[in-house]
Amino acid sequence: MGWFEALAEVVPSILWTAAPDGSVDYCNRSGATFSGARRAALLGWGWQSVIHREDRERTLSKWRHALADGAMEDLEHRLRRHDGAYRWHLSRAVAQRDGAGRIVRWFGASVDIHPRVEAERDLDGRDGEMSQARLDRMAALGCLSAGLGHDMGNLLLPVRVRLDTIEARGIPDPMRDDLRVIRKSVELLQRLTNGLRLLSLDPDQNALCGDNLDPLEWWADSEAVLRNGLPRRVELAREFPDDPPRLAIARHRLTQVVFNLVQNAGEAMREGGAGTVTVRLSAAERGLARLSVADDGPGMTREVMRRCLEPFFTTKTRGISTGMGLALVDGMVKQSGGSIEIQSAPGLGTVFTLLLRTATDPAARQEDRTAHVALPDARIRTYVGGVLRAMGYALVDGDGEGATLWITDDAAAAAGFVAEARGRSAVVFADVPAGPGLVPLGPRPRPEDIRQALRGLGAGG
Amino acid sequence: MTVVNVLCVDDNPMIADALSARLALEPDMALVGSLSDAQPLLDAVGRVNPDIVLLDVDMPGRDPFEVVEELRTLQPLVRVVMFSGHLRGELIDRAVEAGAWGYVSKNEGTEAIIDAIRRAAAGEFVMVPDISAE
Repeated sequence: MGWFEALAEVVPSILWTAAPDGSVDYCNRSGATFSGARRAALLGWGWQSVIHREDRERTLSKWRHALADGAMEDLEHRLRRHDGAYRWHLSRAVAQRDGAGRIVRWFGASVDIHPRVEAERDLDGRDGEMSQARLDRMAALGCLSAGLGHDMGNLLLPVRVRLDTIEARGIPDPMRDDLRVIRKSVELLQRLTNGLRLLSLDPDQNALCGDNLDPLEWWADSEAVLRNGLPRRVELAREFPDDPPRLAIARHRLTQVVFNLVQNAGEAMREGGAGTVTVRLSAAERGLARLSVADDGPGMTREVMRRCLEPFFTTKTRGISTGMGLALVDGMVKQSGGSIEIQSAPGLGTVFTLLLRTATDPAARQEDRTAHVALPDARIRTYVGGVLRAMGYALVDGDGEGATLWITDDAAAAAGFVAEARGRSAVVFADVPAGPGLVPLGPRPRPEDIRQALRGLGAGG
Repeated sequence: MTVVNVLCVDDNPMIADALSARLALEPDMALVGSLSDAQPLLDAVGRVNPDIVLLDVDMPGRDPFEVVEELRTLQPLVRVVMFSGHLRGELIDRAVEAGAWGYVSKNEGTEAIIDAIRRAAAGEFVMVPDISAE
C-alpha cells in the first residue's frame, strides 16, 4: 500500500482515482462504506449506479467534458447512501500530468454537503413547499398588476375623453403646448396601464390575439413595463427590422417572457451599474423569428448557463427577484411552440434568444380566403363577419359568388355549395349531418364553438 | 339627421360626465342619461328611450350579462355595447351570448368608442380589433 492509499483509507470523505479514459481504478473505504457497495462494484464506470437518476446524465456529461478539457468544474450531485437515502455531494477532480503535459491520472474527492444544500434550499425556495409559495406570490403579483392596470385604465378614460373634448372644441394657441405635454403624459400612463394588464398571469384561458401579434404594437404597450424591470442606470434598447414579422404568441405571454428576461438581465447588471439591455428581433426565416434579450453584463459561467433554465435555480439573494424564473419562461415559450437558446460567457454578457413561430399575415391570405355570411340575425352575422375578417378572410356580399366558405343557416344551400366545387367549405347553423367540407353547429351555436369551427377550417385552408 | 341617444352605465361617474361633454360635440349623438350601477337600468331605459346603452362589464351590484339578457327580451330595440378594461375571451363570449351588440375596450381612445356607438346603432356588431382577432 502506497502512502496515498494509506492516507485515503483514513479520510472520512470519498476519494477516488481514475485512468485518463475516465474509468475509476481506485475508491477509498469511505466510498464503499457510504454507498454500501463492494469496492469492485464502484470501479470502472460502476460508480454511476450510486448517482441519483436525475443527476446521472449531468454527472456523466460533466465528467466527459472534464476528460476532454483536462479540467473539471465543481459538481453538486446526489449519491445514494447504504440505507437508500440520497445525500448531496460536491465532487471535484484534478488531473495529474506527466512532463509532456499528458494526463496520467485523475484524483477525485466527493464531500458530503447535504446540510448546506438543504439550508440553501430552504432559503432559496427550491423545495416543493416553497416553490408553491413562490408561485402563489407570482400569481398574486399578476393579479395585482392586472387589477391595478384595470383601475388605472378606468381613471384614465375620462381624462383622455376630456382632453379630446377640449381639443375638439378648439383651444387658443398659448395653451396648445400645455395640452400637448399633458396628452403625452397621459399617453405614457395609458401605455404603462396596458403593460401592467399584460403582466397578468392568465394567458392560457384568456389570451387574446394569440396567433397574430404585431411586435411594434406590443412594444409600444410593453416598453414602459419592461423599462421598470431595469435599474435606473441600465438602458433599454430596441432593434427591430423596419417591417417586423408578426408572431404566433399571445401578447400576455410575450410580455411575461421578455419582462422576466429583461429583469433577469437587469439584476445581473446591478452590481456592474450602467449598461444596456437590447431587445432584438430578426426577420422571419422559414416560419421562425429570433427575438433576443441581450445584456452587456458580467455573463454566466458554463455551469450557471447550463442550469439557469432549471426550475427555481437562482444565483440571486432571496428577496431581490420577483420574477417568475427562467424555468417558467422556458415553459411558456415551449407552450407557444418556440424554444430558447442561450449564449453567455464570463465578462461577455448574456443573450437569451427565443425562437418564435411567425404568424401568417392576414393580408397575404386574403386572396384565397373568401367567405360569405348568410345569417338572418344581423348581430350574429356581423359578429361572425368580424371574426372572419380578423382571421384574414375577405367577405363576399350578395349571393356569395366567388367565396370558398359559406356560413349559413340554410342546410340545403350549404350542401349544394359544397357539392358544386372542390375545396369549398360551409359552416351550417342547423342540425344536419356532417359531411365533407360541411360543419354543422346547430341552430344556436355558442360564440366559442363558432370561432373553434372557423379556426379549424382556417388551419386546414 | 337621426340622433343616436346613448345611456352610459359605469360605476365611475367621471366617465359618463366626460362622455357627455364629448358626445355633445357630435351632431348625431347625445348622452341622455347615466347610471352608476345596472340595477335601475330597465326603468331608466323605459324613461329616457336610449338607442344605445354603453354598459360597463365590471360593476358592483347586478350581473351586467343578466341585465343584457333582460333588455334583449323586454326592450329588443335597445342595443347594448359593453365596454371594459377586461378583454377576456369568456367575457366577450358571454356578451355575445347575452345579446350585446358589441364589446369595446376602455383602453381604446374616445374615437373608437364613438365609432362603436355609431356602428352598433347602424346594426353592426362591434369589437375592438384585438378582440375579434382572438
